[in-house]
Amino acid sequence: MNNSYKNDLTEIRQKVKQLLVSNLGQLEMLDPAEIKDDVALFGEGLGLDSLDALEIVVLLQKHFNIEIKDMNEGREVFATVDSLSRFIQMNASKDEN
Amino acid sequence: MKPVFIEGIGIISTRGRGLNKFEQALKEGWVEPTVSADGRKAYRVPKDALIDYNILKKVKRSDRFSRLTVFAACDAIHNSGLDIADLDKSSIGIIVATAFGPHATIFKVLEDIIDYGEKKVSPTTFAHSIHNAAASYVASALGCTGPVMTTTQFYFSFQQALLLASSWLNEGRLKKVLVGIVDECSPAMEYICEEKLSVAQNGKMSPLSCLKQPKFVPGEGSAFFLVSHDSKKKKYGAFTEIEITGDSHGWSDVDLSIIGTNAMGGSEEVYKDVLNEGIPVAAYSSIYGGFMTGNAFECVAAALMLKNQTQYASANVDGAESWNVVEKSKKRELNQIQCISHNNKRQLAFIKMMK
Repeated sequence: MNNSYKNDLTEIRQKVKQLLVSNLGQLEMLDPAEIKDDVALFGEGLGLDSLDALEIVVLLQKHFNIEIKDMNEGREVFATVDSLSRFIQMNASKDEN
Repeated sequence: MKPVFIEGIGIISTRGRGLNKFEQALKEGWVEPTVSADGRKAYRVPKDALIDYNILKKVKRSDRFSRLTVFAACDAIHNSGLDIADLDKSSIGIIVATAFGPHATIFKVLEDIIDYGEKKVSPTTFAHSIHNAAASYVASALGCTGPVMTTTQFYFSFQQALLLASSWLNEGRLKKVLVGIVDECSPAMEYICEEKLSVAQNGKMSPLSCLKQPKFVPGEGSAFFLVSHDSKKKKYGAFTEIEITGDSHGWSDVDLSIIGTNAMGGSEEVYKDVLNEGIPVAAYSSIYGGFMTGNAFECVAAALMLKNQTQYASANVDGAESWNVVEKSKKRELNQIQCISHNNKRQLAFIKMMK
């Protein structure tokens, strides 16, 4: 886990946006800065789907060493960039404690 | 062989997307290859050649290799004058020929396994590391339900693909076949070329000099032909003969021979056995670089020359042997052209095309 993400939610959001744009084909034409923190990731909003959810799970494991075990939790976590970033921040803190 | 008529062509090369850009490149001749950040020379396809939202929305998760494939395949359909929506989708077959397949994606998967462990490899990236993924994307983008095949035979993949297309048409199981090639450069490929092969540091390949140890510059691209047995639909002539052999001398009734550079086939001295002073000979690979399936680019050049009745000057005649080398572009009656390539066992492959 990257400790530099521990408290800086803004930095986490930027990193998440960059990862989404560089790893999810349908977002590659977007500038990460264009993605709003509260825009829905799935359905209307960014229009991601279940295959993208799988990619996000792998991205969390690969870049933050965070595992999504409970898919009910995953639904809430994957709602927006903000919710995803807060989840990363929270789990980063837990890990350090 | 029953003539296989060309109805449409799509091509993506280092000069960009489209037949016009390729034709312009033939007219302009050699230009410097691109140079990567680590100083490696290659003829790479420019990024903007693979931006087209109408196509990308149909292949939104695709990797670069698949995009090279799909863009050229779609362009071949458009070039024929057909609309994708109006295609008889069950009567079109798709054959993609490649030497190395999506090796850049394969390396990415392997690097991720090494760096992060196998559980953290993207499933989408893994899916794209399969050779047939690109052909499947073409079928998906066009909505085709006919047979889909990927052929890989290293040196002569394109020739094998053409033979298969001819067989499918002969069987009468299909009305048309979309047959083409794709191969890409990557940092790994360029590294291997630099370390193991002889890269031309001045950026110029010279296949016409038939060297024992030829120098080359890696290239990449994709080219597709929409072909059928329907002579009325012919737009660019036809493939009339394909031969892969160790002892053939090609055909003497052609108006022009085009030789290729595949970079890994070793000595180009083998061409000396089949070239003679009587038949003009040309080479264009120094325009788009050397790659194993580049012979399809020579066929695109031949198709354009047969259609336009114009022969284009060889891109680089430095050190050329005393053949009847085509040094100047000019209008000329061209009825038949043969495209020749070779492998590392001194075998040659010939593709004969007619007006």
